[in-house]
Amino acid sequence: MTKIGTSIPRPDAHDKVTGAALYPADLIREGMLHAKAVFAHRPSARILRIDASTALAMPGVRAVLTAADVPYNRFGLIETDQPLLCEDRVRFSGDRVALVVAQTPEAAAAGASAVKVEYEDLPVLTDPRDALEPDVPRVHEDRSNVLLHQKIRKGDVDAAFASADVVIEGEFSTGWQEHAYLQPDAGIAYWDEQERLVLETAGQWLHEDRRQIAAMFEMPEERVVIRYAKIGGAFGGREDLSLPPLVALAAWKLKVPVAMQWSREESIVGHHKRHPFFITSKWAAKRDGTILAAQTRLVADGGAYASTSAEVLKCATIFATGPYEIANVATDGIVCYTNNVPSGAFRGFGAPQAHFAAESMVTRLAHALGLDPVDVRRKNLYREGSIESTGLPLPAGVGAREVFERCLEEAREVLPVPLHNGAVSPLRRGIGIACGIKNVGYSFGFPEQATATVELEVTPVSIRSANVRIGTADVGQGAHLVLRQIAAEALDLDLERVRMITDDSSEAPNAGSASASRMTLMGGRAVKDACDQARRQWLAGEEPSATVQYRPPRTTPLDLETGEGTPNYCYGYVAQAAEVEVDVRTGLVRVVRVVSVHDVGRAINRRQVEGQIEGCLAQAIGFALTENFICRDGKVLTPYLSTYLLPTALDMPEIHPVIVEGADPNGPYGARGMAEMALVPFAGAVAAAVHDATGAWVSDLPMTPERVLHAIKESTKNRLVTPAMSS
Amino acid sequence: MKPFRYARARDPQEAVQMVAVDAAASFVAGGTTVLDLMKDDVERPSLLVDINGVAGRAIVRAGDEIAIAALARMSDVADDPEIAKHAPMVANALLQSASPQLRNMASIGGNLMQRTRCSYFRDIVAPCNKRRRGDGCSAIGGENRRHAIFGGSESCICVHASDLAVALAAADATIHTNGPGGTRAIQVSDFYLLPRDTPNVETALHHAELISSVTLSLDPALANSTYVKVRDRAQYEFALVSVAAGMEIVGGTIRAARIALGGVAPIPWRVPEAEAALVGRPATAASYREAAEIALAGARGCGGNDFKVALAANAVVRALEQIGSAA
Repeated sequence: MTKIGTSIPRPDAHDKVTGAALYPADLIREGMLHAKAVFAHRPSARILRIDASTALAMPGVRAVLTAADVPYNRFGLIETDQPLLCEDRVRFSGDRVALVVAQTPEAAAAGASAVKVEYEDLPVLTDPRDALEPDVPRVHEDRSNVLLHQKIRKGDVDAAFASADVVIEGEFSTGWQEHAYLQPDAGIAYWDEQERLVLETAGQWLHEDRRQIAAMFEMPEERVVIRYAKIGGAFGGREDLSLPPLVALAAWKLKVPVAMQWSREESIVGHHKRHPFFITSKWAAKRDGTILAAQTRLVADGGAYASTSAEVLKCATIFATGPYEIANVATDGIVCYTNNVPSGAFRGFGAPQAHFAAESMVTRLAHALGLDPVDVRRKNLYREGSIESTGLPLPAGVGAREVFERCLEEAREVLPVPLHNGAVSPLRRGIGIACGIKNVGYSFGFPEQATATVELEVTPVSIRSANVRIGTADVGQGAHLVLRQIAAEALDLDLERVRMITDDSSEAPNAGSASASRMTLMGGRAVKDACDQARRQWLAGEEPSATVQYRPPRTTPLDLETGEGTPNYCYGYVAQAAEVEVDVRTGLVRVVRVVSVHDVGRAINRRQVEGQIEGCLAQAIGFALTENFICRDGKVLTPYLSTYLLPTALDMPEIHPVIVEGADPNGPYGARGMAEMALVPFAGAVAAAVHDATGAWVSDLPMTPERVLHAIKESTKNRLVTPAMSS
Repeated sequence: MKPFRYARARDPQEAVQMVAVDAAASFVAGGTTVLDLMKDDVERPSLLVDINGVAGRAIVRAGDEIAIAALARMSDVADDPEIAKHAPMVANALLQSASPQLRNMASIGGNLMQRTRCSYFRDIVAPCNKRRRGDGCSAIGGENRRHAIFGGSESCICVHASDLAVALAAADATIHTNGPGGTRAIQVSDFYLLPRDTPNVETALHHAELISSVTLSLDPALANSTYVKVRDRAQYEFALVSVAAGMEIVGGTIRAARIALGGVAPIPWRVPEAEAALVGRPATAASYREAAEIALAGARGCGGNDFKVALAANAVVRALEQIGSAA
């Protein structure tokens, strides 16, 4: 057992840090044509006319493509409600209305600015709370602005509120978040000698990209080949098709190789974001700290197209009660269309927003009861066999309590007793804790499988080497190394004797997406099972190769009115303690240290697990503090990284990643996913720490200086008002 | 980006002549700001005249004066021991600006000529009077969290982006230029122009006039000075508000004071009434708070930026406390 559990260095690391690795934009070659999209730059309009004559007359311009050139002009991961190029209607400012193809990038850009589009501006809907009102404009004429309203009803919250010792209410909001992957969207497309349309790009799911693109061009899927170059991060941002089908369209139509890349500004305006949420909460507890009821209304801004909104919303809805077993739950999750930038998958997938409210409420409840927030959590945290708000027991392997206790132990070691400098210093320190739960893998009955093929090269007495075929994106997290380690372990081979074939939809079977923290568990299990079967066949004197599809325990859709169902087959658990320093004069919050404890089932590669915790915390800092994405009147006002503030190295805290290994019943060698977990409780931990430091609760993310100052001002005003205990 | 011509000048006169004959020509030194503006299509020069070879990058002290060559890089000035000793607010302002990579490239002249980071100014489909006079100002009634609480007009409420300019305003620095009409010396206070109804005109420079150097007159209030910058992340970010402040304190009494605010106005915002209020007063927290209130007396938010009034006052207090305790 030496291939797993060790920190084997990444084979791709050297090339990536020296610049030798080839990302999609590095594939562009002399002689290719270049495509440039014409963006609408207006949030809601009717397209009256597109006049490409001037553009077409410009030197180097070869074609101007419009909606009429797309055979099936609809795509989407869950619902196909997004046009590749707009027909008669623009629904957000990043909508594409035409595609200019030219001999050089400069000619394409000049051509794009010469395409004349005549618009009739239409009313703009920008607040999802307004979208619920009757007489507001419809974003999609043929359907309601409410994309999904998911309810959960368990017990009787009203009776619980009436009998509780304390009832508190809270309002929260969270902002958009931009993925800001290292390399903006890019790709090349061409027809190969076998008359297949080949698209080389970056993504998160080869076979799903292929399915959607084949559908757009009305081609059999086998005639489309998707290949991934090196991928500079994805974080959910490459789950939806952004640029890839555009460059594919140009190559498909013109039958010549075409290249395309987006600038950072085009990427920020053009691809989806994390959902902003408005959350109102009412929680009740008994004097002893037992949480009796949680009533939550979550309204999410889905933006102009469906993307994965419905799934994100359902996740947020089930995590509105965090990792706590609560007898009476009433949750209303609502996601609406607006004319804002579409919202979709982003690391955490609805869980960070829901947890920010839930974790804040748990700590506030403890304060209202005069109890330690640690004890209130201990009393209510999920345990093995706990019933979810959706009515059935949790999948086995509940690590909520283990990570929490371990977090407390580590925090006692690492975090100093906070220094409340009183009125003397404007710098106040505080500590906050929070817990989290997040599904691993697809939820709510979405078809879940991963397939791998293992081909062994054998002698009569030994296995010499193996080919592992598994179509899976290594988005930078190290999935390919993890899968290789699993194969090496299963076959007892040196790592060098395991060859991975992973990045070509025609060469490797479908393992599903690199998302939902699922690839280690799902892909790993498929690889392990295929290795085991190929080995068994070899031992039995049969063909030493096997293709195995792994299917985990099944999940079901939730009942829309009650939420009843089996939402997930696996959860990851996390607990965090954060120490902050708040400057009460400027409202600036600095996270000084964070302890982040994760139940990963089994760490296949410890260094990579720690890397995921650290990288995820960088995005968590952005989500909680610095990344203030502004979309106003439907226009993105932070399209540059100079004004959209990703955390820098200096914004990063001292990180103490802690790995707990409580084996998962289904994962390969007990491993489960963990790549999203550090984002889940973090904002709640920071909010509690800011409260510990200042006495003020900040309820809106990101915690900008003015929000923190405002909260401090309000808390000073209300200092004498404490929540009343009813008898 | 629009295609453009590029040429190198050998000396300042040649550079000035090359730009003078072409109304759409611009100078380029480090290129860190003009390149961004060109990529965003905000500036479309027909010709860029590279001035990197026209003069040196020296920082020279002569008696009570320090002369900084316009081509000195931000990092040259930030790292200069004479500047750090005699004008720490200048060094501090630079060290809190941009990133190390940018500071290694960006020239002092270019830093002073950088343009506002207003989102609407850089979004060429949004109306902006600074880009095209008469189009209107999108920030008024729009997203204006970062905008001015002083000195705005009905046509523009942007804020100036340079930290260095704020320190130089507090220091009463002089900007020396070379132009088609010969050389000039311009006080920083006369260099930057309020938007009024011509927000497209930002400085006193004429077309083809080139900054050659900046001079600082040394005095005790400059020697005991600091730069406080409040921003949304720890580095590589523009100021929400900033304060350049210096005080001469003798026996616990303030003899002289210099205060300018950044991130609050379309130009570096000197606050002479607050400075005057400090002179003769004891170097105490009460004096600082009073000066801060005077400094912000005329401030007016426009919605999204209302918080800046209190934030700037607190930053003034913090800056004065830093140099008050250091004295």
